[in-house]
Amino acid sequence: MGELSLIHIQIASIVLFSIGIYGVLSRRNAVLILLAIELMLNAVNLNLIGVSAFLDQSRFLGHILIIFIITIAAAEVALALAIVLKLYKEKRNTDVDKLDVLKW
Amino acid sequence: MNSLVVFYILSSIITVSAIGVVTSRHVVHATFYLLITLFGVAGVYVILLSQFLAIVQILLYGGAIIIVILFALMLTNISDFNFQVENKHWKYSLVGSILFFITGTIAFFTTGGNTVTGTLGTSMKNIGIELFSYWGIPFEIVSVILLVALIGAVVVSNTESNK
Amino acid sequence: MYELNEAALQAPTNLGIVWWAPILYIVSFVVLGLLSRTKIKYTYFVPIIVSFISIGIFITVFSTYVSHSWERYSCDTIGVCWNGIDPWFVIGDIQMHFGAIIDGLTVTMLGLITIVGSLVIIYSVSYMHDDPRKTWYFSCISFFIAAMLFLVLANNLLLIYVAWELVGLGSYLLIGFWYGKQTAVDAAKKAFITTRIGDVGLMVGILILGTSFTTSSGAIGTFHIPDIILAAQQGMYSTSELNWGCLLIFLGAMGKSAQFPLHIWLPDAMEGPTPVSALIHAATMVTAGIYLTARLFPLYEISTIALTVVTVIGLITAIIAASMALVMNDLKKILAYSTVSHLGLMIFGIGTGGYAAAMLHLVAHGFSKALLFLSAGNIMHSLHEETDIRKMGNLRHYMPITTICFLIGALSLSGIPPLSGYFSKDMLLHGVTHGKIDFTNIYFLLSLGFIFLSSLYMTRVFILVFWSKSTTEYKDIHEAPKTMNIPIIILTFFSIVFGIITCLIYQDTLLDIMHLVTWGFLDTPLHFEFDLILTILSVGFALSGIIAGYFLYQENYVNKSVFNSGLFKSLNSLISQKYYLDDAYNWIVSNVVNKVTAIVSYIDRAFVNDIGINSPGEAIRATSNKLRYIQTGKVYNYALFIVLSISVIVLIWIFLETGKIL
Repeated sequence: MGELSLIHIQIASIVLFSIGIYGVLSRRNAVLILLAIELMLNAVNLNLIGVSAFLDQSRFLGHILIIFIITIAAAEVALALAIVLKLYKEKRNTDVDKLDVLKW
Repeated sequence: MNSLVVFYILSSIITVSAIGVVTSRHVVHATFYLLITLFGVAGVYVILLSQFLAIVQILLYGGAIIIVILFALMLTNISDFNFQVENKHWKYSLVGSILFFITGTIAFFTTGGNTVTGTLGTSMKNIGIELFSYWGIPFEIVSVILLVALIGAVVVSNTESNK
Repeated sequence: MYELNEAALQAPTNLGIVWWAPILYIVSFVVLGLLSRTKIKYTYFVPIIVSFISIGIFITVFSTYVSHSWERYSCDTIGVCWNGIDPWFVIGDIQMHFGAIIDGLTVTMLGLITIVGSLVIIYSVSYMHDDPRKTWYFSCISFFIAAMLFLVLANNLLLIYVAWELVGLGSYLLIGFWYGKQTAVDAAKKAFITTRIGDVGLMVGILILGTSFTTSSGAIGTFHIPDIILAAQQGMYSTSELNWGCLLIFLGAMGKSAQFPLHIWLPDAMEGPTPVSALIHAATMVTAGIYLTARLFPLYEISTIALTVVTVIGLITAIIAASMALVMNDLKKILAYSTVSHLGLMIFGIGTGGYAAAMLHLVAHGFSKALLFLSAGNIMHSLHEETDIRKMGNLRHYMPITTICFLIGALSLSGIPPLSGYFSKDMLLHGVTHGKIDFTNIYFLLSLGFIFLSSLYMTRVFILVFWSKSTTEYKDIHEAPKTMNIPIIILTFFSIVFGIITCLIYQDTLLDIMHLVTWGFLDTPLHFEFDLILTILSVGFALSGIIAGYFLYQENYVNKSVFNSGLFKSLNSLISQKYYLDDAYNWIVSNVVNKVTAIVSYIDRAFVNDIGINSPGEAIRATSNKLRYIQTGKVYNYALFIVLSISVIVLIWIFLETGKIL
């Protein structure tokens, strides 16, 4: 085995991201879609920290960006769940397949 | 041990948990799978000697976001906790994600610098200085974003809908 | 040889006054047009005043032209040429000027138009007295006279074409003046379309003549008439260009001056008010074609094919129309066919070289025919719009003044001396025979036949309307009011004295006026010469026509059995059906023209419109109609599309950046 290098972390990141995409596309519950979005965000964080740790050891820009991303992810989840709760109050279910009013 | 071996273990944990997130029939199970995934990612941060970020990750994601999601699930899904069926087009989604995976792989392999190894150094002190001096304004803006999201969530929840 | 005398181009400046005549008529047209919906009375004073001013302008121009020391204009110049605006506008290489030629031809036409115009306006004041739209009528008449004046003043072919079309428009407006009558509307359309057929030839002919050569300055040609004549003289036109140009321009003249076979519109144009017939279809519009041919006469001299065509068509028109005038029963239609016949005679005269005789006959005929038309208007006014001459008769006891004036007009047109028609007809015969009486000359024989026919039908009309016993009872018939009689009397006076003045007293002036430069190929009589034998022949034929008419119609020989037998009867039916020409035109229009237009309109709608113009819009509409199903409203679809797009874009970008995949 060799050393740990950037490509390993990047492969892991892209795998996580693809799984997150599959989750977004195939889930019907709105909250579960949000879970998958969290997966995607974490994949991005992985990639960023890998690049930053290996390649940018003077300024560590990736690390700083990760702090921001985590914060904003938290804010976004809060707001999104507020919307989902509102939706549930209207329609008494959270199935996104039933949300097709804005269609042709 | 070689950090590569640890990394392999962690990445398999991450992958299995992620698959669990997206395929689980039980919504609470899916949430806990997500928690495990987040712990795995935090482990990877530790390997890369960014312990502070790992702690931040566990605190924020695991401590705040998962809790919020659980609350939302409790409020919306009382009746059918157990029964989540996938979208009927999930095969196309599989194709889409595999395609994206291929794309990403190609992208990562054709850009250079992938085989860098060597010392990993992370200095929290530098990150702190950087964060509050050079990235000061984005920092303030993010705090404003948090405030806005808080207020927005309250507003969205409290406004009466026009029937 | 032609030379443009440069000094001759500096016209005496007071000749610029000639442009005021058409401009004032345009002003009258605009003013009256704006007032035409109001109920202001006495609007007719505007055109009356304008017409008097224009007569004054004519007299000024005439005296300047005559009294000016023309000796510096040698025989080689073409008159005064004055470019008012220089140039008016320029399109590429083509320059459109706005200028006037003032020479004998112009002055003659100017006099005719202004004098007859003013007399007709005065007559119309009382003829149209009861018509509620008379302000618009006077507006149209002003417009028409203005356009006609532009036509005779123009010195380049493009301006003549513009004025030609405007004259056609004026005639359309006036013929269809009573647009409530379907026959009037149809007649106006027929006139416009028939002259339009000729105008196509005119346009092409003008373009051929104007652009077939390059001037010395390198431009592609010029439409300036003296320059065109100069170029033709210098041989810069090829024979075929000149032939085609002259023939096509003559086609335009055929349309406007009602030559065979484009004469069909003139009899139907009698649907308009009678003063309109007097002005337009006797004196001014129909003479535009003759004016144009005379103006371009030097070109026709060179191109003998065109000249032969001109002669033959003129003669055919004259004979055929005279024969049709013999069997018509509508007073105005008889006069219309007589006009066509005399126009044919004028064209025939130009063709045989006697353009001066033709112009003289134009003026004489203008006066006499306008006189006849106005008298017909008198009769119709008294008889409450009756025009069938079989229902008239014995009018000489009720309308003596009209009778005398009509008699003088008829005699003048038949060619009885010393009225003006005699002089012009004699000059024409002189031009045909060139001084030698040759009975084998077919033209000469046919012109004598024409004289016989013209006096025959004139006698028929006179007898049936004024002399013989009436077949109906007249109630409440009286002579026309003074405003209608005075113009008629003035025209009678002109008919009587015009010939004498121009041919006997002021012969030399006539020589100067009528002098246009010609090649000298044809022996062109420019002044009247008294030839005893010719006079005896022409007057003899005329008198025999009168006598024959008297016997046939007064003594009513027509009903004798010999005239009812086969040949005469079939001839009569052929002629009274106008030689089936109208039916032929109708057949052509409905079978050929309509079918072609159906095909063309189908092509236009199906290809040009539906495919060419509509198809981009239709394509977009159809495409968007199918594409809108993309918006399913489901989150899954949108997200999948985003993922796929990003994959594709990234792959393409990688490929473009690094030139390879993996």
